[in-house]
This record gives sequence, structure tokens and C-alpha cells, in this order.
Amino acid sequence: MTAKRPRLLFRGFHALVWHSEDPNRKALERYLSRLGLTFQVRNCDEPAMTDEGHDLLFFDGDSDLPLTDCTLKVPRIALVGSEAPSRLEWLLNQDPSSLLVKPIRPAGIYAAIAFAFSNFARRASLERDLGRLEAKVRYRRLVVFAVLRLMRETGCSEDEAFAVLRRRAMEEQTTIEALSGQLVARPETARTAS
Amino acid sequence: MTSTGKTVVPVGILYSLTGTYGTVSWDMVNSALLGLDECNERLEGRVEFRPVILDPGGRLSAYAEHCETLIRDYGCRHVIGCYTSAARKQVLPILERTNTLLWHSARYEGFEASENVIYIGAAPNQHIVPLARYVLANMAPEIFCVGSNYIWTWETNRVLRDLIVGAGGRILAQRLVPLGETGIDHIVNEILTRRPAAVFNTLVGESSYQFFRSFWRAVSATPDLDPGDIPILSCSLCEPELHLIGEPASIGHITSAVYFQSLERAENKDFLKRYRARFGAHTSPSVDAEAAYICAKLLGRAIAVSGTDAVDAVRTAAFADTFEAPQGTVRLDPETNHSYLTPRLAISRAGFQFETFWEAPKPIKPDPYLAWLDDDRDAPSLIGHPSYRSDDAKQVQPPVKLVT
Repeated sequence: MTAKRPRLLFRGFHALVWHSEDPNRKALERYLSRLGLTFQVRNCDEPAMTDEGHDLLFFDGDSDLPLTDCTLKVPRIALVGSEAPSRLEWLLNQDPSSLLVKPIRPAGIYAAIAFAFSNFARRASLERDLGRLEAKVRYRRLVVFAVLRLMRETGCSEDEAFAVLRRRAMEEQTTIEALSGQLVARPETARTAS
Repeated sequence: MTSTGKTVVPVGILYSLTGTYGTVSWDMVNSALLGLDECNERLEGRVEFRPVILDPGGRLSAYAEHCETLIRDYGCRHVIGCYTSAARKQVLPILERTNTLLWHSARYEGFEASENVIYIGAAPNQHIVPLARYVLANMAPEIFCVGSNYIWTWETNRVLRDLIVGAGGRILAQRLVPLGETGIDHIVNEILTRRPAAVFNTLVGESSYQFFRSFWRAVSATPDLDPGDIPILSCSLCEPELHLIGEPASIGHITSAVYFQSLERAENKDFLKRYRARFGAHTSPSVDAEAAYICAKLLGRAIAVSGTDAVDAVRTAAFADTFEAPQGTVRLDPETNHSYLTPRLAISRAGFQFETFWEAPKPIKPDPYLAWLDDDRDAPSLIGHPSYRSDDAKQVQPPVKLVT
């Protein structure tokens, strides 16, 4: 039987636990094994990890860890002890995908992992969309220029000019924005566009 | 310690003997008492286990209150009890705060592993998963789900759907009714119209019994359907419930469980003999009762070995124990605090008993988080179909034909 991997199955994932040894870390380690995750531990006084191969990072929210040095692009789960505003400020800046409140007990860990992966994926997808939209906004002026130029040179309407742009972008497998940039930069191509 | 040097160990027993779950809970309380008494006999007066029975009456808030009372007023460090997950969740914070150990007998939907619970009931990989694998290996995987609307149904249906749909099968429909609802004829009609290969039933209590009876009537009145053409599959149907459903509606249904009364094991025959000698020849201890018995026995044996009821010492001793239970060899898994149990599939026969037609080759490691769900090493393969025997019930002539 070849079943699809269930969405909330984390077996085989490799976590990094950046937290000094104490009952909290012990409880977490025990629990990760139950879920079938493997993990590597790193004490708080050890430097940040830069190598790849991890799927998930747990970090101590009560130590001033150099998280900005950590280049792992994976979901981050904070282990939170102090809720003092100064610590929360710091935590917020680290942008954790979810958190666990100390003392760590079995209840809540599975949910925290599930939320971390979901939040991280959603954030990554939003950032991709944002990048695409920002590029569109940057090219907006060029699209307007290209439409106006086509209208002036071929005597067509706004709708027709835009339809021409869209058709050619499709034919050349580029975006309307990129094509508009080309047209504006090389005006002689505009006439042949229709 | 008393003046005679005897150690008295109070053991809390926390099941709802009244209210919605009252009927099923008596079996569990009885079994726990039987198990503790056997431990007392064995220890010949050196230790005396004294059961303290409190009845939350099915009210959720009473579980927390009674659990506090057992710990504070009676000095219990060990509690046997809790039938529903909702009840267990109520007492978990108290157990963890006071470092008390709950010996939990009920099978449940998994996704929990408290350090203050010893889970003796089946984890999902020990009941729902073997049933789903059986469906995939032996039937057209087109399943109609009917259940009571609560966590047990939601989660078991999710697992079933993951496995069935993942293998290319279909869940034709999922129909849920409120707990205790008995007006379910409309669902029976829908099943007869849609003709699934099987019905997966997670109804509980009177809803379930009503469903079995109504389904039987409807099938009997349908000329082109024979009894057993659409088998009903359950993970909770047990012997006492077959009585409550009544024959012939109770016959020919498939259940997944780690224990059946009919198991041919010396330990099981002894257990049934002692149980019936004490509680009456008519009694019918179920899988839940057997689990409560194991709870008491493992607890008693661990205290006998460690010489104390201190939780950490008892846990350590229990982890090292291997017990020949009525169902088979049972031991605890220190990684998850759950138990190695032997999954079985059985079909209900006349006489309110089950006949086992598949059992796991050995006790299966518990997997409460279904981290190994996609691993089917111990799965039922094509194992042939259980069929009606002609003498099962006079009204039932044709054999069960399971669709292949």
C-alpha cells in the first residue's frame, strides 16, 4: 500500500534544540523521540548553527542567543520562561513560528510543532506573493507608458492596447510588466507590436 | 504503616457508576477490585491495597473534585479510572501537579503521553489501524461512516480516511449524530440506498444499539440484500453490548479489539472463572474490564517489587514487568507510557460472543502519535472472510458475503 504521507506526521524530521541541559530540554527530547523526530542539541553558550540539514529549530527564549547569526531557514519554536516585556520584545524580534511555555510538559508540544510548520509555510507563501506584487507595483508606470504609446501610434483604445500587451507577453512567455519595459526602452518595437 | 507492620496502600478508583456511562463502568470497577484482591492474597498481609471508590456520576467537573479528594483526603498516589478522554483531560493537571499516577484502562484516540498516566487501553495503532488495513486488504474500499459527534469519532474517522483515501479508496459519507440520539432510521435508509462495501460505526451507547437493530430490520426488508452483505465495523463493540442490541441484529459484525471473552488462553479462562465466581455467572466482562484488571495487577505487582507506593519507584518497577494477562503478554513501553497489546479482529456470533479471525503475530508496540502510520509491517493481509455459520441464528440463513 502506498499511502500519502499524512500532513501532521513529523517522523524522520531533524530538529535542532538550542537550549542548555535542564528538565525542560529533557522533557522536549523525550517527546521528540516519541513523535519519531531526530534531534541535535546545542547548549546556549555554543555559537549559532549555519549548516543545513535541520527541519526545525527549538530555542531558549530566556537566553540572549545570537539568533541573527543562525542561518537556518526553518520554523523556529521558542521555549518561553520569562514573560517580562523586555524578553517578549526580544522574542518578537526573533519572529518565532510558535512557542512553548516552560515548564515543558508533554501536552502542547505536538500542537506547537504543527503550528510552527503551518505558520512558517504560510509566511513563506505570503512573502513570495508580496515579492511578486511589489515587482508589479514597480513596473506600473512602465505599463501605463506602454499602453499610451501603443494607443498613440496605432490609434487603438486602452482596452485594445492592453489586450495587445497581454497577448504578446503570453507569446513571448514573459510578464506584461517586463514586456512594457522593453517597449518603452526601444520605442521602434511598439509599432510592430500590433 | 499500621502497628502490625502491614503497609496499607490506598488506591483510588474513579469511574462514573451512575450517569450516561454507568452501565459500562461497573465492569471496570469490578475488574479493578478483583485485581487488587488478587494482589492482596499474593502478598499475604504484608501489604494491603485498599480501594477507595468515588463516583463522579458522569459530570465532568466532578472528576477533578473527586481526584483531588482521593489524593488529599485519602492519600492516594495511584488512581485507576477515567473512561472518556474528556474525563481524563480534567484530571491531568491535578495528576501532574501532585505527581499522582493514573492507570488508564480505556482505549482512546491517542495523541497524548503524560508522564503521570500509564495507558493500558489500546492506542490507535492497536485498534483503528488494523481495522482499516483489513478493509483495504479484503473489501472494496468504499466506506460509509456513522458516529456520535465527539472527539473519538472525529479522530478515528480521520485515521480511517487517511488510510482508505491514501490507498485510492473512498469515504462515501460521514453522518454524525449528537451523543445519545436514537432517531437514526434516516441514516440506515441512506446506507441502503448508497450500498457501501461496509459501514464504519463509532456510535456509542443507545444510539449504537438502536442503529444495529434498525439496520437489521431494514436489511431484512430489502429483497436483494442478504444479512452481512454490508458488514458493520466497530472499534468499540463488546460482548455486553451484544446483549443490549439483542439477536439476531447483534450477529455478524466485525470488531477490532485487544481482548475478547472467547480467547482460548488459560489466563483468560482463569480470569473469567474468578470474575464470574465473584460477580455472578451472568456477567460479561469486556475489553475495558480486562484492561482495568491489568491496571490493578500491574500496579499491585510493581508495588510488591518496589516495596513502596512512591510514584517514581512504582513506574520504574512497572516498566520492568511482563504480565501474562488474559489477552496475552502485556508490558509497558517506557518511551510512551502506553502498553504493548495484541490487536485482534473478530466477528460477532450467536450467543453474544465474538470469534477471532485475525490476530497480530505478537504484542504490538504502542504508537499513540501514529508516527508510524505509513508503516504496515504488522498489517492484516488477505486473511479470508469470516462467515456466518448456519446455526448462528435460525433467521440468518445466507453466509456473510464480504465484497472482495
